[in-house]
Amino acid sequence: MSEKLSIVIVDDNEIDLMIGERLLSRVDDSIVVYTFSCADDVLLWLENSKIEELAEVTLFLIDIYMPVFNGFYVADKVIEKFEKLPKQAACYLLSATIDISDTRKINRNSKVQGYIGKPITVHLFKDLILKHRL
Amino acid sequence: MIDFKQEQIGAVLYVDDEQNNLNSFRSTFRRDYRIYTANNAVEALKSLKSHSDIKVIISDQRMPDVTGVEFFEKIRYIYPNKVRIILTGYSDIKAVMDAINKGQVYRFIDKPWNNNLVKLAIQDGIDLFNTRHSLADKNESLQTAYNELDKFVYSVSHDLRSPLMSILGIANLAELDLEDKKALEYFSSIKGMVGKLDGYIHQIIDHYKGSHSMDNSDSIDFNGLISEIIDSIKYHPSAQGVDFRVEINQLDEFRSNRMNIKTVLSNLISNAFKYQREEESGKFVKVIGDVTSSQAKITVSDNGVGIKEDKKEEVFNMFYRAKQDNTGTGLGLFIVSEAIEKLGGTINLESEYGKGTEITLKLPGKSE
Repeated sequence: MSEKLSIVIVDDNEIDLMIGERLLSRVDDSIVVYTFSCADDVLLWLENSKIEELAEVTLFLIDIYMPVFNGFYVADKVIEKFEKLPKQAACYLLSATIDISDTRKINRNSKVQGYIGKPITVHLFKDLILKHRL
Repeated sequence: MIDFKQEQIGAVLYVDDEQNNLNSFRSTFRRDYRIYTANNAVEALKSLKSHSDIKVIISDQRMPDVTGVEFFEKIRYIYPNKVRIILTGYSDIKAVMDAINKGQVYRFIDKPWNNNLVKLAIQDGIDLFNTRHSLADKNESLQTAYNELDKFVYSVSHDLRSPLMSILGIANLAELDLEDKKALEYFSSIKGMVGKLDGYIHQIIDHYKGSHSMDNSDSIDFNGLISEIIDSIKYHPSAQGVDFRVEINQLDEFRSNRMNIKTVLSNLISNAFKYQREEESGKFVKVIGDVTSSQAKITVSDNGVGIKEDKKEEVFNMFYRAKQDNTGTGLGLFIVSEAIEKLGGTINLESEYGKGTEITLKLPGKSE
């Protein structure tokens, strides 16, 4: 299996992006990590990327509280885009909010796979990779 | 000065189809109140629209187009705070009593009227209006204050925690990347302090939510609730290498305040993880429970450090800390005992120092 795999992280906090990127390189350095610090950029990237490129993306991690477009909006756009593609990607929302179940109430309709409380850790990445078989 | 006085006094609208009555009413009471008059319902509506200072409306019952009670029924929802008084002869008394009982009318005055009784009724009406008004004002400002507090609490939960979690993330990364022993020690201290601050934020929020959740009654699925709690602590360092078992036997619907129960269970479970014996192998935390619609009996047990006999009373006090190592805030069990009191339940603590702790909760279920 020499399939190329990639993970996309969207977070307006640059430090959290760096943490995510470096942790992932510890878990498996063959995984390609795309990071975006603003929602606009990731939406533009979705728009302009080739299908083959998007097909390699297995996982999206998107921060909920971002300026301009929040994580729910971005996740909806991502899911909308992937529904047209042969292979789906899993979307998770990230937040430092304590009670994520409260956040869940805000948006029951979202088709995201789940919510992840910060900080992201090596254990969490290992679990996710196992679950989605990267 | 005059404005203030007038505000306290207020205006009265009198509706009657007989012009003579309107004239005599006006001349009798114009020194005491601002008087507006109307000789039919349409005129009365116009007057209400243009005079927002009207506090009391007096209407004759017998009018050609609509009766007084019918008129009040119409305006009741548009002007709910204005006090409605009906003027009536003896023959209509049954209809009017009915209206009073249904809450459409505050009071009735019989015809021909006695000036003193009318004055008394108007004064009572104005007092009632003023009371309703200031109560509504206070409710509104209280609601605003609550909303602001809510916003504050959520921003504490997010804005304060967000940079804290970044610090924790970097410290985690440093532990993976660095080999220098001293540096590792420093980062471990940083993590400890972040954990402490984070615990404090959690408890403030829990406490706030606990004291603000009114008598909410939610349907509680204990298995779901516990897995939610575990999800939030399973990556915590204290949870590594600890076997976690849950056996909840719940067949019936159990209703109670979800927020308070979550506060209790998450504090007890995270304590069970936190106070493990470090060198021990076979560390476990176990939650067992039997739930019926009338009672939930939940036991949280561990084979951790345990509590000394003479400290068992103290652990529920505010700011009491069992360990010297800076991990606790001393609020956890205090908040637990407060929440249990609100839930109307009991808590029982069995512990052997150096062997482990077993805490049993009994919580009553609310009927629908």
